[in-house]
Amino acid sequence: MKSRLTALIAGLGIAGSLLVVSTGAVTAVTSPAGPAGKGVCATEATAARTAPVTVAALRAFGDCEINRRFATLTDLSSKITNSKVMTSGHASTLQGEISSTRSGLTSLKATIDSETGIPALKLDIVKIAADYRVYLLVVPQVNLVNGADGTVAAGAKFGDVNTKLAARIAAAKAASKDTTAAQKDLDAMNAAVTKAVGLATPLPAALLPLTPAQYNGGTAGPILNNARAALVQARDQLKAAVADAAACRAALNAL
Amino acid sequence: MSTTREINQVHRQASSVTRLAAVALLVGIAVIGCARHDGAATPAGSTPAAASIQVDQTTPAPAQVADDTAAPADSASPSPSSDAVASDAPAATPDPLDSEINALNNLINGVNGSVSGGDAGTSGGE
Repeated sequence: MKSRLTALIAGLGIAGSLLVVSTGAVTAVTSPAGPAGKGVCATEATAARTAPVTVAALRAFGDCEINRRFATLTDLSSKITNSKVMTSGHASTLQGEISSTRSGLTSLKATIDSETGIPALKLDIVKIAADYRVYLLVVPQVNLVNGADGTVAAGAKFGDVNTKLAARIAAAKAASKDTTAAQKDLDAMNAAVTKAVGLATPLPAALLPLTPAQYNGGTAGPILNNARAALVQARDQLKAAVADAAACRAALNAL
Repeated sequence: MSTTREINQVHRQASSVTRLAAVALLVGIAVIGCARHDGAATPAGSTPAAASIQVDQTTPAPAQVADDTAAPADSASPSPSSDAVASDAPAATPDPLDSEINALNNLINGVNGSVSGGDAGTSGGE
C-alpha cells in the first residue's frame, strides 16, 4: 500500500515535471522576437492594411517590425559573443555592422514615431526592410561567417588528430605491422579536411563586405547562395573526415 | 535523581562502547581491504593479458602519452609523470584520441547549425 502511494506520488512528480518542461518548450517556440518571429507583427500588419488606414496603425506596424529586428540583432550579437570559433576580426566587423544597423533603425523609428502623413509613413516603413536587410543579409552573414570560421577551426583540430594518428601509424610500422589501411584512411581524412578548409576560408572575405544596397541591386544574393552551397560542401567533407579518422583509429586498433 | 544519573551514565558508557566497537570494526575492514589489495596487485600486474599488451604495444603506449602531453590545453604534466599514470592503469583509461575524434562531431554540428541559420528562408523573412 505504502509502495503504491510512493509510486503514485513519484508518477505525479514525473508528470508534473514533464508538464513544466513541455510548457517551457511551448514558451520557447512562441518567442515574441528574433529569427523565428516572422508572424510577430501579423496583427499590426492586418490593421495597417485595413481601410481606413490610419497614422496610428501604420506607426504601430512600423514600430513592431523595428522592435522585431532589434530582438534579432540582440540575438545575433549574443551569438557572435558566445561563438567559440569566430575570429576576433570577423566578430568585430559583424558587431560593427549590427551596431550600425541598430542605430540606423533607431533613427528610423524616431522618424516613424514623429511622422504625421500617411504617404511618408508608408515610405518609411518600406525602408525598415530595404535599407537594412536584417533577415535577408545580416542574419545569413553572421551565420555563414560563423560556419566558415567553425570549419577552419575544425581543420586545426583535425591537425592535432592527424599528428596523433600519424605517430601511432609510425609506431605500428616500426613494430613491423601492416599500416596500409590506416595510412589510407588518414590520407583520406587529410584530403577531406584540406577540401573543407579550402572551401570555407575565402567565405568571410566575400560575405563581410556585403551591403543592403548590394542585396537590393541583386549582387549580394548570389554571393550568399554560393557561400551557403560551399559551406554545405565543407560540412560534408568534415563529416567524411571524421569517418576517415574513426576508420584509421579502428584499423590501428585491429593491428 | 541519583538513579537517573546512573542510568544515563550506563547508557553513555554503552553507547561509547558501541562506537568504539564500530570504529574498531571499520579499521579492521580497512586493514583487511588494504592487505588484500596489495596482495592482489602483484598477480594482476603479471597476468598474461596485461603482459601481452605491454609486450605488443611497447612503443604505442608511451607514444600515446607523449601525444597527450603534446596537446597544449589538456594537461600540463610532464611526460615522466604521465608515464607513471599510464603504467598504473593500462587498459581501463579511455583513449583521449577517441574523445578528440568525437569532439570533432560537435564542431561539425556547429557548422551545420550555421548552415541552417544562414538560410534566408528560415531566418524570419524581411
